Amino acid sequence: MRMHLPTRILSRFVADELPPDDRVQVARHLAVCHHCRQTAQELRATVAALREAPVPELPGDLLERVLARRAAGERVILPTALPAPAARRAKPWLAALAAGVVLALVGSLAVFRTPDLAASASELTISPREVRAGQRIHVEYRATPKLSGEARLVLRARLATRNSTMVYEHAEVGVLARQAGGIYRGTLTLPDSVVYAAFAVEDTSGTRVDYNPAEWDLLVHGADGRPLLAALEQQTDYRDEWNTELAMETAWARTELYPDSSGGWLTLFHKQESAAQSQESRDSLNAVYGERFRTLERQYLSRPRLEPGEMSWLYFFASALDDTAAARRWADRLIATYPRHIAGVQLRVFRIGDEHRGDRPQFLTALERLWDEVGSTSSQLMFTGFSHAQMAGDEAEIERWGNRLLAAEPMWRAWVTRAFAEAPGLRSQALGLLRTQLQSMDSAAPSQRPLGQSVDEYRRGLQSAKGFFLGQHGRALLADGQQQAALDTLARAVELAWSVDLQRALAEARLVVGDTSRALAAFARVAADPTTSLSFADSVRGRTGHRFQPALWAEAVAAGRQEMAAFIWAQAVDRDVRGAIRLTDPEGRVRVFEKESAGPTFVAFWSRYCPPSFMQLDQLQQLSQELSRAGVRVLSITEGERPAELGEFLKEKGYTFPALIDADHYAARAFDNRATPRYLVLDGSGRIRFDSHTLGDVIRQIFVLRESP
Amino acid sequence: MPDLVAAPPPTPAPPSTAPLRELYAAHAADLFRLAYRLTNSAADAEDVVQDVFVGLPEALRGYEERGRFGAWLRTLTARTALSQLRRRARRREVSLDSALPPTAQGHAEAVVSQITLQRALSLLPETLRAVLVLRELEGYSHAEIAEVLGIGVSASQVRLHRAHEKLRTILRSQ
Repeated sequence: MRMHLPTRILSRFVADELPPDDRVQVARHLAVCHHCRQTAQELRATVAALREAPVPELPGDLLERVLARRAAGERVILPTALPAPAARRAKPWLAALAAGVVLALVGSLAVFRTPDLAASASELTISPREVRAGQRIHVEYRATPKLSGEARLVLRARLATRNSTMVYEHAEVGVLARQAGGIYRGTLTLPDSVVYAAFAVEDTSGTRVDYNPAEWDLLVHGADGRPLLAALEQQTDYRDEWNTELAMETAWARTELYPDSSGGWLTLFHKQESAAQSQESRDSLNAVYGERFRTLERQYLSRPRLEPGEMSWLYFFASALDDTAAARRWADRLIATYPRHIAGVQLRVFRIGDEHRGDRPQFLTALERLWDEVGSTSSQLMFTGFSHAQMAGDEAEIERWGNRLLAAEPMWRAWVTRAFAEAPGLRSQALGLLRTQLQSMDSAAPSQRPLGQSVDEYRRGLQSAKGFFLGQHGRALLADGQQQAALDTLARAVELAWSVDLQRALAEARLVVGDTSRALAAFARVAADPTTSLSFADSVRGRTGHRFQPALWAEAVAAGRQEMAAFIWAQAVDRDVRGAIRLTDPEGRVRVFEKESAGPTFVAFWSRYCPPSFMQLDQLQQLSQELSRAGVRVLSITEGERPAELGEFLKEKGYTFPALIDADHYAARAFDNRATPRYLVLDGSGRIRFDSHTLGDVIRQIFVLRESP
Repeated sequence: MPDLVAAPPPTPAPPSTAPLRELYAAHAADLFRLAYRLTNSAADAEDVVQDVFVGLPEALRGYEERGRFGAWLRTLTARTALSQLRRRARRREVSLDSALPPTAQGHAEAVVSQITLQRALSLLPETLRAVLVLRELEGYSHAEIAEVLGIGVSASQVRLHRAHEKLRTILRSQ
């Protein structure tokens, strides 16, 4: 394959920005390379076309409008000083593997956040911009209308230190006091260990929150005036949770400022590769980054001593380039030089996996030997041991690795607890862990909630998580033969969350202890749920015999419906859909969405490039079929797709839900959407009544909406 | 005989609009073109130019760069346009100009290519479009762009090349 010049060089060539020597080299290459010559011509043609593009005429009455505004006393403060960082848009979440892993692991506790910035024009300015570790920072905040009435506001931050991964400290870092002109000001000093901080502003009770993940952050700078490499790494991770494009901007900055750091180049390669549309562009990316890798490799080899972290980056870089020989070379070297360092252990775990592929018992034995040697150095080791023990269904191994993980990483407790509760032999341990889990939820402080989440949202999430763990606790007690304790716990669980499964478990448990009348009440709640089949009542009738009295049953079902409606209405919102919505269907035709309808409308925002959303598409398909059968209007919206490709994707997957492309962001604006997955239920007048990130309650939401007067 | 009624204080004459009219005549068309290219929307460009001239008399009090008035005004306009874009981005608005096909008359081919170009520009992230417009169409140096946008010179260079690359990719795929 011929090596081509990166567009970066060609665009500098076309813009006449290259030093003379480089210019000559490029010209020489262009003389012999048709591909690059064509690229350069295209670049030139684009700029020429831009220059010739017509500009509309200045409206004739503009001056009169200016004078009228001034005559009416209007004044505009113009940005004569330097502005805040340049415009950035928080786009819907795109593929971010790391965040996907976090969501998958945290499971039922995960809440996927969207920034709450509706119609706000707030700004947060941090000075100095080039802050040093431990330096005093001045913060100025121009408030969003929803916060502008407050005398004092609280500044919260997510703080990252050099080695933060996945776990971050959230803290109140300052108070902002209102000054003349409605501007809020405050000062703060962050701990020396912090390299990167992202901010949110809220009222003192944490009820109303304003934040902007794309702009409100701070990079700690070093003595040489550059942002610290660790700060840029942390910024990439944070931005990756929101917007890959922004994360890529940071990755560019990393390579600009730290050209010798292989981590920055690798991040950039990953991002560009995942965005590459054709094999041709992937090939040329491989060529360009392969060259970069070899340059870095040469530089590193000439150094007297290499840090394990650097070797590890090179290993991952080589692997990403599919250069197996180089990957093996760096893995060998890292393992030989630093066998017990966290980076060395990680590669040894990979190697054990390669050696014992398909033979799980051997794999676990080899991991055990490694554990004997290195202990809890690497969470990768414990994590791998635990997940493979789970897949093997080996309770002794689950217990061993689970306890190691718990001792080293308390953040995995929910996951380990769940696995223990599902293993019959580990039930007594699970009971202890569940008690600890529930106690920790009782004492959880809202100060650790994610940026952008209000205290109310945090409490609601905590309550439903608590309902989940109480349910697990109840089931584990039941399986352990502790009937009475199980009944008490399950009864508490169903008070916190509406769960058909838990109601059923409670009913069954009551039946076992002979409490048939209360069992019937719980069964009636199951029957009250619109997802329960109509024949359910018959099965209950069959099992409870003469105690089943149709009149009382109907009354209990009606009471259950009211109870469910209360739970569901507690989640309701009431918001307008703004403006017209023009969407493109997979055949490329423009469709206009009419807000008003004879009944409820279900709207789903999804993206196949967002792992949490992608994982729910099968469920979305099933639900949309059910809803269509029930006469509910269904609309699904995605973006960043070409019509034909979307059509192919739907066909290949067998998805039949109506899918439209929001090419011009009409829907994103109308529904104020910034993330996927997101599911909305609209009432007949077109107002948004329910808004969630999961599909579990949609049928109930539509049911209560239809039942409401 | 003394006056029994005090004479009313003289009413201050309304400030003359002549200087503003003159400035408008000299610069508005140029600033409108700049704002249009940065925002890719006639409606936004109108808002920007209006805001600039409404705020100009007060902003002039802080003007100290003798001899570079045109450049100062253009920088002010570029910044105002960028903050307009930022506000719009927060609301996730897309201007109707870029969302709806224009009804321009003319040779079919020219219209199509201009629509395509217009659309490609609208698909470019604001951060990249700003650098592209300032550098390629307005002739700013990277140092000047860095100052207008509050970024580093190298960031301006990087963004320019990314803008080229992205624009080319978009145009190719249309």
